[in-house]
Amino acid sequence: MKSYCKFEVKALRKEKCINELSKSFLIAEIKEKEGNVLEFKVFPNDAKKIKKELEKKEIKILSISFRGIYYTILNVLKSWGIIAGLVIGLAFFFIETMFVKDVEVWCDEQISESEIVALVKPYSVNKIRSTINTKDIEVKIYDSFENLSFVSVAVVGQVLIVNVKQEVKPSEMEDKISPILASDDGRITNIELVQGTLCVKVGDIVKKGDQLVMPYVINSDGEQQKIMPKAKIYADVWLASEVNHNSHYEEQYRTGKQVVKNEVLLCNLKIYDNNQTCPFENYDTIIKDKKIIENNILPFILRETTYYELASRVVEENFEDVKDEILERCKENNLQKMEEYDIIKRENIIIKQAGNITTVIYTSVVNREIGG
Amino acid sequence: MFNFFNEIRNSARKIKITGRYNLVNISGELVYVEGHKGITLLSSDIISFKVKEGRINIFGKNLILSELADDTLKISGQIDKIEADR
Repeated sequence: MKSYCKFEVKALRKEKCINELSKSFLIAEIKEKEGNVLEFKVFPNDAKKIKKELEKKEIKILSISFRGIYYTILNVLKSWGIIAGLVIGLAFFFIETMFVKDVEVWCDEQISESEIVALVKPYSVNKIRSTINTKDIEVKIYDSFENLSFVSVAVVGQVLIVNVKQEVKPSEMEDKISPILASDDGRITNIELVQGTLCVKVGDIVKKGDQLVMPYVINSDGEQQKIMPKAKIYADVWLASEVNHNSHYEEQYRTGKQVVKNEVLLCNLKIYDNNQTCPFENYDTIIKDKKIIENNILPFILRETTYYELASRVVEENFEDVKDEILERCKENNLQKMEEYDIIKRENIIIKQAGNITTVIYTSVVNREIGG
Repeated sequence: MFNFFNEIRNSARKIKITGRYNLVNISGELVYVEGHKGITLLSSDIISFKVKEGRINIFGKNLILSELADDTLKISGQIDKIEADR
C-alpha cells in the first residue's frame, strides 16, 4: 500500500472486530499491541466507512492517520508555517524584482566604462524600476561625455543597460591623414591616382618608406587643400635571397660515449647525488626532470643529466656536388618573401666565390601594389 | 485461467480431497491462506484461524497478519510450526 490509513483501536475482542471488518474491507499489517490495542492499515478510500463501522460497534478509536505521498504533500500544504514562509518568500522576491540592482555598459574601448557606471549609479541602482527616467539618464550621459554619437538606456530585468557609441569622424576632420608611402623597394610600373598629389612617376625607383602620394590638392585658387590620398601604385619589386656554401669546414660530432649523472631534488634543493662527474673535455648535455611521486605534497624530482662526448672533424664538400640543392634552397627562401598572387616576371642567379666560400644570390622580380 | 491449487488437486486424483481451504508456506517467512473463516487468536507468537474443517494454528515469532480479506489472509514473520486441529 503506497497510500494508506492507519487505525489504532482499543477492543476487548479484537479478533471478532477484525473478522467483521475483513468481510467488507481489505485489512493489512494487523499488529497486536499492549493493553488490547490493535493497529491496522486500510485503503484511504475505506477509512470513512471503517470509522463508521467501528463507531457503530462502540469500539474506541485511539488514532487515525493517513500516510503516503499524497497525504504527505497535503500535510505540508496544510502546514501554516511553510505556507507563511512561501508567501513571505514570494512577496520578498516580487519586491526585490521591482528594484534595479546593477548597471551594465556596452561601449567602445575609447569610452571609460567605470566613468559611465559612476555617473549612472546614483540615478538607477536600488531605485524602483518604474521611477527610473531613462531619457533623463541619456541626456546626463550626453552632457557629461564629449563626442558621443549614440546613447541608449534601458531597464532589462534588474539591470540598467547603457549602450554608448562614440562619434566616428571622417579622417579628413580628424587631422589624421598621412601620405601614401612605398611598402617595398622597386621600380614604378603603373599609377592609378584617385585623389591627392603624386610625388612619383612611372619608371621612378623608390625605396621602402618613400612618399608616393601627398595628402593634399592645390585648388583653383592655388591654395593647398587637405585630402585623404587614394591611389593604387604598382611597381616591379626585387626579391633577393642568399645562401653561402663552405667547401672546407670543421664539424663537431658525438663520439657515442656518454655519462649519466642522477640527482634527487626537493623544492630545487639537492638531497641526493650519485657523485658522477663529467670526464670529457668537450661535451654537450641534455637534462631531463622526472617526478618521482605524482603529487604536490612531496615534489621529489629526479634530474637526469646526460653528458655526450664531442669530437671535431674536418668536412670537405665540393660546391658542384651540392649546387642544385643550394639553388633550390635559395629559391625556397625567395618564395617565402613573396606574397599571395605575386607573379614572377624575371629571375636571375649570381654565383660568387671567395676562397672556400661560394655565395649563391637568387633574385626575382615581381609586380605588386606598393602603395594605396 | 490457470489456478495453481486446482492443478495440484487434479494431479492427485487418487486422494479424495474434501477440504475447502488452501495454505502455502513460503520459506517459513510467509503463509498464504485461502478459505479461512475468521481469526480466532491474534498475537505475535500465535495466530489462529478457523477453516471449514477445524482450526489452523500458526506458531512463530514476530508474526504479523499482513493482509486479511473475507476469504484470504497472509501472515508474515518467522514461522516455526503450522498445526491443524480437526
